[in-house]
Amino acid sequence: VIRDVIAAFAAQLEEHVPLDPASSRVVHLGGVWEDRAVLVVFRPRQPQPSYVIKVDTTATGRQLLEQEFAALRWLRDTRRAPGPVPVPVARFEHRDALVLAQTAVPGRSFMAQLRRRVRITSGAVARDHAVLLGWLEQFRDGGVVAADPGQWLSDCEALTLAEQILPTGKLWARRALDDLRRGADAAGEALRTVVAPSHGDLGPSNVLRHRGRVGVIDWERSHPAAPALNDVLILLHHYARAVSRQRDGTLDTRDVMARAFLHDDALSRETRRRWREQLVALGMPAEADAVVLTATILRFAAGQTPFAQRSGGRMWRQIARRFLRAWSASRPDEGALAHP
Amino acid sequence: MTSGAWNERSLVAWIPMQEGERVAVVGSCPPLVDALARAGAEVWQCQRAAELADGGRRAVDHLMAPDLRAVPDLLRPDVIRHAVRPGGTLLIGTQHRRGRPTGAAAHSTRSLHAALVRCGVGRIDIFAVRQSLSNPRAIVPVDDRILRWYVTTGFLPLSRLESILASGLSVVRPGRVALALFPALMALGEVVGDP
Repeated sequence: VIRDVIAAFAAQLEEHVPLDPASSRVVHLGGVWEDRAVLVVFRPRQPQPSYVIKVDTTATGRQLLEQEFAALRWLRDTRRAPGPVPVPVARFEHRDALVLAQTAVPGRSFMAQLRRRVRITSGAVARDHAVLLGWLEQFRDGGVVAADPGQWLSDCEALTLAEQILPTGKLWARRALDDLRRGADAAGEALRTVVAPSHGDLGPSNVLRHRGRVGVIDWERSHPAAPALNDVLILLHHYARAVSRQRDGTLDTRDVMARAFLHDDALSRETRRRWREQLVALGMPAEADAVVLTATILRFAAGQTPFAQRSGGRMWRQIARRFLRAWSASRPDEGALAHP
Repeated sequence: MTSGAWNERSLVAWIPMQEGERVAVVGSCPPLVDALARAGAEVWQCQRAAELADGGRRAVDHLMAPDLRAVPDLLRPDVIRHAVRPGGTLLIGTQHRRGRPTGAAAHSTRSLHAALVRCGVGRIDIFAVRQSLSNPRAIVPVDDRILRWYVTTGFLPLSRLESILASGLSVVRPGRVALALFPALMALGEVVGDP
């Protein structure tokens, strides 16, 4: 099947130097999802790959590939991305699969760099955040739209989802709900839904660094106008997950959000600082950080983001539940909604 | 196309299989059998090399042995010639012998290639596999430039030792030394009949 796909791709390719399927070499990267294959294609004697080909047969997977194809064309036409991104090369059907071919982006995976660090210092965390969030700020620059408060109210309806997600009769759940309502009321119209171009899955695995530039791949969950805080939350969460894995390999993935924001250590402090900084950059008060954070997590849990498209939000519901429980436990009995 | 999910089913994508063809799976590997059946193959599962050499059985179109440890005596000319029709595909997964001997079913790239040639297999491609045979997340051709690319760009260490090793390899431009980071090998070849 792999050789057939490469041959079919070579037949579609309109480039000066034809791709010879027989002499091309392929790295096969298995994905976490069934019926997804990622093939990295090397032309003969080339030290770097030329193309990345994604193949998928499932309805959801095909939809994600269609979204990525549209996103890559949009990126090519608008040149919005501040660094290298893949260029779409071909999209075609092969047997029962959809095939999306794109150019390979040069660089070393940010995740690979993180995993090779023997120690991760607080200074390194700050520098990494600066690189990743710096790219994000440049990417959304000029494309930010602040929707009216009414839209935030509809987002606040996500808070009512907490009532469905959280267990009834638990003290911590009641406290979390009360705090959320109080926090939303206190912030009032200062809360706005800010939409901007979004990558949708901006974690260290999808960031490549090459000669001082930052390239970003995997645009399957991209959207031209999505709540800007989605990308910020995903980025901070995925980064904390990668770092926590280095420091404590036994940490449950569902506890990473609490680990990222609620601990009293350098990683959590830096993560909270960056979250507040992003809120201010998007025109919201820093004091609303906790309620906006919780609402954003709940938006994921409700499946309202492209990120939950394949997992159905089940994992995020568990993340939200564990986060709210940890959050409730971390605060004194009374007092304003605030992080420790 | 059956791939992904980080188990042996990824290997199905490497077999040039048509619907209705007969595929033998040697050893116990339910995800692979399931994936082959879903792809329309007529799957025959067996546990021992002796079953393949049974004279009364028709040769299969393709043979897959995802872990040679389960059938260490598979790579014998009489077994392979008997089991697979000429032109059929053979896919073998094996532990990678890195330096010291680790048992009869472990191979280096050279010994695996030689064993396949002895069995009458041609057009052989050897791949390095991470993280393991049962979890093949990356299947990388054994080619200096591609191994170098993988190890310097996308390789994710699983232990502190691998982190240190990978950092060192990034500096010295590894080539085949990078193979040491792959615990398993996969070979793909075509049975050409008499060697």
